[in-house]
Amino acid sequence: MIVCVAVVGHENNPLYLQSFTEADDALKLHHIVHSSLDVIDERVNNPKKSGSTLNETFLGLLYPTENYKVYGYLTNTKVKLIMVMTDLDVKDADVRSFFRRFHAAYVDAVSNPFHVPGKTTTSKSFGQRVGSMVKSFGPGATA
Amino acid sequence: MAPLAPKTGDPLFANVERVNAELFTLTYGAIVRQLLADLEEVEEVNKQLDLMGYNIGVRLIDEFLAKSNVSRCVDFKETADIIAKVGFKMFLGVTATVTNWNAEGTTCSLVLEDNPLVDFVELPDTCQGLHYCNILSGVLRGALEMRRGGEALLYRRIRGGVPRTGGSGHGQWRPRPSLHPRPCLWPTPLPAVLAAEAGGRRMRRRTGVNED
Repeated sequence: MIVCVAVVGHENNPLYLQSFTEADDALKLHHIVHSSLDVIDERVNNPKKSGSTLNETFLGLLYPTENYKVYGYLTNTKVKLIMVMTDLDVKDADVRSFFRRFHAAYVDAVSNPFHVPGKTTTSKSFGQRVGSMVKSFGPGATA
Repeated sequence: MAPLAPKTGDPLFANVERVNAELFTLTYGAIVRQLLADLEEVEEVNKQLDLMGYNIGVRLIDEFLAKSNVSRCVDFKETADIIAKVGFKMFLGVTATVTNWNAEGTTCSLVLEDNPLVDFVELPDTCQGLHYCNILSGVLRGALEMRRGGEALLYRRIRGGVPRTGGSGHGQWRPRPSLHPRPCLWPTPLPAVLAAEAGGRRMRRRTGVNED
């Protein structure tokens, strides 16, 4: 179950942050996202030799905390997409396909001529698309 | 024998040069944004877009008539049909549907289900009165005015605040009191009201006369 998604710009400025549970503290989720940025930076600056060079965009499981897993995805423009989810048995392929769709939705939102790059995305339809993607995310959900 | 006039714009669309749709959409978006930044008033931007469209329309009509080889339209209904099927297809790559005729046959709606100008666009709350597709109404006004010799007032109303922006328009067309004897699209001058919509929405019928 996805509890939070975030889009962070290349200077680590937040572009979009949305949490999907009422139960958990939103602040805690933001904190988790923030600390995962360090992990991303570390991974980006020290590429592992055995790391996947084919698909450098998907960073995979960044780090597991108490009851959350954090996945990261890096675009070519250094925009980071981060997803926090509760512990469930999820297939790598599902996460990858979710990030692909998330990336596509983000690109459409940025193409809006009224969107100012660097500012947070205020588009309602982007929020709706992300919401429906999160809802439909589950085992067996493919792009 | 002269070739038959096309009933659809598909063969024409296949023969004209094309441009990447996203480049077109993003360029138009950049124009609108720059106009907003320069003029700051939504009404001014609407007027400017209409003027730009008018300048495009007076030039576009010649290209359209030369390439499409349409014959004279006998009445306004045929004109609207040709614009929707051939004209829009040739230049925008999408067809419009003509609906919502009023009783006298002077008002119609051109509905663009899939307007390439408004892909990805969401109007922010500060620009609610913006007629985003007003350039299209200017183009139609310019093109028709060159052929009709009448006065045209076209305007568009854009729906904003919904995930998909649409364009809708109303136009009022009145022939000038003294018509010069120049070739017209149809033999008898008809007061015509042209309405265009995008996004598949229907416009409310306007009551009252549009003031000059």
